[in-house]
Amino acid sequence: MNLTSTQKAPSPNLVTPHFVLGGFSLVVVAFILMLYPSAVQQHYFNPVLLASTHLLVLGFITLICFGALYQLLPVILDVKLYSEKIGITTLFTLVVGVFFLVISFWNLNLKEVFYVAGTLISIAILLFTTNVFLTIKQDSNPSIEKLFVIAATVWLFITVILGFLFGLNLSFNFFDISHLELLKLHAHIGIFGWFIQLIIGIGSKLFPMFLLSYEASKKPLNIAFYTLNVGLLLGFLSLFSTSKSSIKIAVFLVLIAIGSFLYFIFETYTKRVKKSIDYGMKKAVLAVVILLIPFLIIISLFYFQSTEFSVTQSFLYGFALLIGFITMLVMGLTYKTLPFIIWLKLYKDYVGKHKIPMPKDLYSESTQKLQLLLFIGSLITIPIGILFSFKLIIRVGTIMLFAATIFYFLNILKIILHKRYLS
Amino acid sequence: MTNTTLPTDTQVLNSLKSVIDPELMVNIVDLGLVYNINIDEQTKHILVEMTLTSTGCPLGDVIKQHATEVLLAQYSGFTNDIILVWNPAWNPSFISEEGKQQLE
Repeated sequence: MNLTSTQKAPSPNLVTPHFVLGGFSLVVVAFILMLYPSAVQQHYFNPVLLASTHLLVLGFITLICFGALYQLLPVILDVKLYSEKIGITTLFTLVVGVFFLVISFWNLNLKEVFYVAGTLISIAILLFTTNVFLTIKQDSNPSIEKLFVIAATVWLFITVILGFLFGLNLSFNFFDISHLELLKLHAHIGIFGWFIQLIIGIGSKLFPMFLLSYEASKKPLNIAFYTLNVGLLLGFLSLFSTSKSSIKIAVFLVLIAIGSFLYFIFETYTKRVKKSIDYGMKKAVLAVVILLIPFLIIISLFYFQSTEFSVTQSFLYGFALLIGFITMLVMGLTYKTLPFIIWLKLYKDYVGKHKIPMPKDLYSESTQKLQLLLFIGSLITIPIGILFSFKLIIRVGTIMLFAATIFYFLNILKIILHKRYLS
Repeated sequence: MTNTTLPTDTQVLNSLKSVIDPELMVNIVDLGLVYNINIDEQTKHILVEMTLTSTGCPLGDVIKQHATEVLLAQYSGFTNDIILVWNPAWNPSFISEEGKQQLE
């Protein structure tokens, strides 16, 4: 039997816990940074940054990406998610795994608790990968979006396994590789292979859809796909080589990929029919603009590396990528996914029969506006505070970041706790 | 107001203007989603062929249902079918001038 597009949408019981737990994780991350603002001025291999970064990337970004992907895969591929039960099992395993991982990093004790965390997270990612592949298998039409999602999932799996092996190697030392190089590779494969690749794949469908812009050429996306993945593969292989030239080529290829994606978004945005855009899309577009910062930092960090500034530059680079680009984008796209799934659940049987609210009425726009302003404030103040070693400014920035995440989380709760209202 | 007389295509089209795309907040007529209207006087049946802005749009059923309910409420004694078609594929050039203004 052919299912309609609405019937292909997943159950809210699968999607909503991802947003609630993800939003809560983000609040905790911001709370930690507010309590320990000095951590952002230290080398990234410190307990506070390791714990909060992993809570951010796994507990917030990955969790919400999973929830959003369960909802968006049926939109992109026009098929039903293979298994919601696997989805729920993945969620539970991942959340428990992340909890133990954060504890082990917080205590900088990569022993038993870390082994349990690593095992649980690896199982969760394996389950997720299986679910995504079996969903994609149902659709035989080739598309660039599909290639991005497949590659992103593969790199996620590699990132997690690499991270787990890295942690184990600290205890058992079974391979002789520079830990700092391995950590850099783990972070970059995770950020560019998983997050950015997924964002390009999903974004290449969602940006044109929400902006009503279908005139941009898809050629830059094809270029982005091949240069990004060849670059990542080369970067991965360079770990086993002493030559520096392969890593330079890898960085160059990744830069071409990012540039191609930025060009696609620029064309999509300038050729859009929908001129007035809501705050959700404003955040998403602003996030893409912020991607220019790490794009330029990569060039300066790599080609004009200065040991004196490397710790600061590294933090600013990671901050611009993870908080400025990815977190901002995830926050924006939350408003383009979550309200719709809740609205469909509550109102699909009442459409046309009663006067009902619209999906945008499920959250507070003024809270969203305030959240955006505070978030932008933190994006400006924290880097300024770090650059000029001004502790008070860093503290003010982390307080604004915390307040922004609270408003974001409150809006998530408002959407999820919305009660059906008919008039 | 309920209408029991045979409606014209224009009347049906005007009725469908109350069906709003919940994401774009523009009605389906001005978005250019309604392709064809066929009113059968004998069987008292209204057939609407329409499309969506995107094939996998999860709001598709909701928009169809809204259109069905609007026509049932407006044209008493008339049954209706709302059929989704994908040819020609929708593109923004189908949006009316009014629709474009609402999107600005």
